[in-house]
Amino acid sequence: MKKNIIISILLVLVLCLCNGKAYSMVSVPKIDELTYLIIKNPDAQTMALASGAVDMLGDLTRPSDIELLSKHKNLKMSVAPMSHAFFLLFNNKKTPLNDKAIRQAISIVIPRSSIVRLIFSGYSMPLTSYLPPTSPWAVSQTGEAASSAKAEEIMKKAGYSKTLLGKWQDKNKRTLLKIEILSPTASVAPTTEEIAKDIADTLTAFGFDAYVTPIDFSTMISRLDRRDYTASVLAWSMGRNPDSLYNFYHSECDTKGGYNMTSVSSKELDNVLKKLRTAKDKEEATLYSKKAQEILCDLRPMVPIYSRMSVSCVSDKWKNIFSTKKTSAVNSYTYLFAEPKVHKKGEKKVLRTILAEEPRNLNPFVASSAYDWEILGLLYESLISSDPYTMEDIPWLASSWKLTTDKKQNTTTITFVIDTSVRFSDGSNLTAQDVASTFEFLKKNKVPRFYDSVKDIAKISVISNNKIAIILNGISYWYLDKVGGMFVMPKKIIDSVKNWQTWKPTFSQLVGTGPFVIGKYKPGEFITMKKNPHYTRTKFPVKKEDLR
Amino acid sequence: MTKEYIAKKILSALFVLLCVIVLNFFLFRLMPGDAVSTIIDPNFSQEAKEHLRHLYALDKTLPEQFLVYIKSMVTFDFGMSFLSQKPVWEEIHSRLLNTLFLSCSVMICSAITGIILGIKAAYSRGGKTEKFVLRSAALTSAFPSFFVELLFLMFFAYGLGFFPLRGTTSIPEPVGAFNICIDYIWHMALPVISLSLLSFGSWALYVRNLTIKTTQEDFVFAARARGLSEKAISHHIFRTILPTIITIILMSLPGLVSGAVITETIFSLRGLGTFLLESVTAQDYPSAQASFFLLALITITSNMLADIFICVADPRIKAEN
Repeated sequence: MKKNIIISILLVLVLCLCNGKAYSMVSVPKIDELTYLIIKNPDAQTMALASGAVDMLGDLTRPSDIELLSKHKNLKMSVAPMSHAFFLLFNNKKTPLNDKAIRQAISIVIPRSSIVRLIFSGYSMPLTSYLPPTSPWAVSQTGEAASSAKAEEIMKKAGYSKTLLGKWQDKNKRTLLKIEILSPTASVAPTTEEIAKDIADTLTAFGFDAYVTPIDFSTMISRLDRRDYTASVLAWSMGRNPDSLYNFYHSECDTKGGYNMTSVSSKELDNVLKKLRTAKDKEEATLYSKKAQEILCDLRPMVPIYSRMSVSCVSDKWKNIFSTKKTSAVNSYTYLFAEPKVHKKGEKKVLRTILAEEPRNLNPFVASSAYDWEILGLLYESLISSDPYTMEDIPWLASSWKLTTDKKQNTTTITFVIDTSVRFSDGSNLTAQDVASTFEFLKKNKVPRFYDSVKDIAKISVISNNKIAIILNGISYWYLDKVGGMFVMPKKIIDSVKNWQTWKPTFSQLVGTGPFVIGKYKPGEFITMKKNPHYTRTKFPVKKEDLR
Repeated sequence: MTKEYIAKKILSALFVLLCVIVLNFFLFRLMPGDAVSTIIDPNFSQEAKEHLRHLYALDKTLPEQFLVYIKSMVTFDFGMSFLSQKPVWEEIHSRLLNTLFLSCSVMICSAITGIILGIKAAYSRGGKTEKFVLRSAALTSAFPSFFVELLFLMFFAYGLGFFPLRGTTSIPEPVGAFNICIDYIWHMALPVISLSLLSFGSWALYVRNLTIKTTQEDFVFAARARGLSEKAISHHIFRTILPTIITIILMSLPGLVSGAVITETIFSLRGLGTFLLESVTAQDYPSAQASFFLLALITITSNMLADIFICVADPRIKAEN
């Protein structure tokens, strides 16, 4: 009887471990090698996957490719939202878009769902918030369904009326000025220009005089920087935190080249955004993030249109592919857990995928493209990471942290407890000194990519081998993400860097705590990542049922 | 050919190069925006952008930037690429082999095939050979290069599997110099064949027309009247059209480097064409300036060499000068 009870308890424990978020593995990565083939041509990428030359392909964008690959019997598709966001920008200081009622009416009349359906065959989602759908802070408010009747009601309430020709006129019976929508040319961004034309057609049908001017992308940005425009379409990749709202909508950022390209200016919004930036804890951050989005929804300085979906495709010869509603199949967890379904003993387990662009530089201090960080992201890790299900902060190189604020001194202190069981790829253990050296180096050298993350650091104190306190000027809850999201290198490597700009690290100098190391890199051809022999992490925030 | 003639040509080439250098500098500065202004990343503050502008020396005055630029062009030290933060010369050097192999192979294949077929067509007027040359030339010139190359990739690489889908090397890489060479040629075969096929037609048509025109010249009738063999006459005809062919070969060299961009993109080759395109679109001044400077240098040198070679091939030009 006793024996049975013990066995039952053990079984329950095993099941809990397997089904819970902390899914344990004896040793990861399961593969021996991860090979990135550099293929720029999207047609060749599709052919490579369909012919079996590669095992997986992430970030499929063309609906025709998605349709084609989804019909392939040996391939499995997965779809998830992305941090991409596409907007219709208004110059809030130029007539007629300086009137809130007009901006609100335009926002309501644009048929987001049909744009997504017609242009992207449904492989995108209508955007209804000022933050991307992947952000846990996003508040969906702008409404998805287009309604001409509701828009007309807003216009009429604001004193506008229609002429006999169906064009809107103001209280003084003057027809409204034409709305020019700037867009990049079709050769650079074909779908963007198509969407701009769709919007212009919708607005014209509603009673505005709208037309599209396709121009060179740099010229367009230059005009946006000078605020020399009426309306424009533009997309960008946004972070998960609402702090970016400050850069986009605070009047302080309405300077030449500043990110407040719509020139929106509202005392109430400025006040809330300031409070959001200096929020002392999550509670305050949540409150002001929601408030800021509510105000934006009323002001409508720009209109959210759509957000691209991340579509990935994987060969069915592989198992343990990780995907959730928020993450498609090609991700770092897949690289850790993936295994071939059939494997001959003694044969290397090699997973092949595609890199759509050449990494420009593998010096982590100057690497800036997404393709550079696709590789470097597998070598380096940061103090905190994000949960693949909720996108919330989770412990990573730091096993815990504490954020305290001092109103008198106007400082924020973050104390991290470092997980010293983590080892670098050269076998040495991670210490608080490594973290301090990395951050101090980035601050001292004002490395542009990390400048915003380290510029407010006032002091770094190594309390013990596994404890570090970082004191920052000012009070902000977002400091945690800024500091905690930076990569960590060993002190001895940092000390060996003479000039960060011209540093050409050898593969043996690219030492991180990540699951892979670089095996071989032939520019323009391929990059082979090898399993980091010292990777000891065994617990990951993934559920077993999501490994398929 | 006199020394004075060569010196005159060199001086004129240097003057053109100087003009190109000056234009090259102002061309990019006159374009709206700069490498930093196109950073649309809300996580990158205005302060960080300003700092980056300082690192790129974009905050310096135009005369100061011009002095730095002139020094870099003259010393062939083109500075650091804004995009990759690597020396521009290193970037160019690492891409040179693929572009040179591709352009030289295509030049040799298409020119030889085109010249032979063009002459054969000219000598068999109204015959099957001429019809074949005219039709195939018209057909290959009618299609855009990206379409034909993509079709070749789909049919010969994806469909039949005769050639690889991408790049210049197999994975895992073959062992031994001989195997590496064979593997490289196998990878480059499809791009070279497709590009040669697209460009031999214009060669064939041009040479055919040139040969027909020359065969109707007085000296050919005179040679025949004097009883010279057809072989000897053909030799004289070829000597007459040779200066024009040399000029076309040399003048098409710069176009081969810059025109390989589509082929490089479709076959995923790391070459100078795509580098030039990326540099211009990303407003990477050092890289774009260096690429344009080198292209201008190749063009001017080719032009100068064409002048000199023509003199060697056709003594009449020397006499005129």
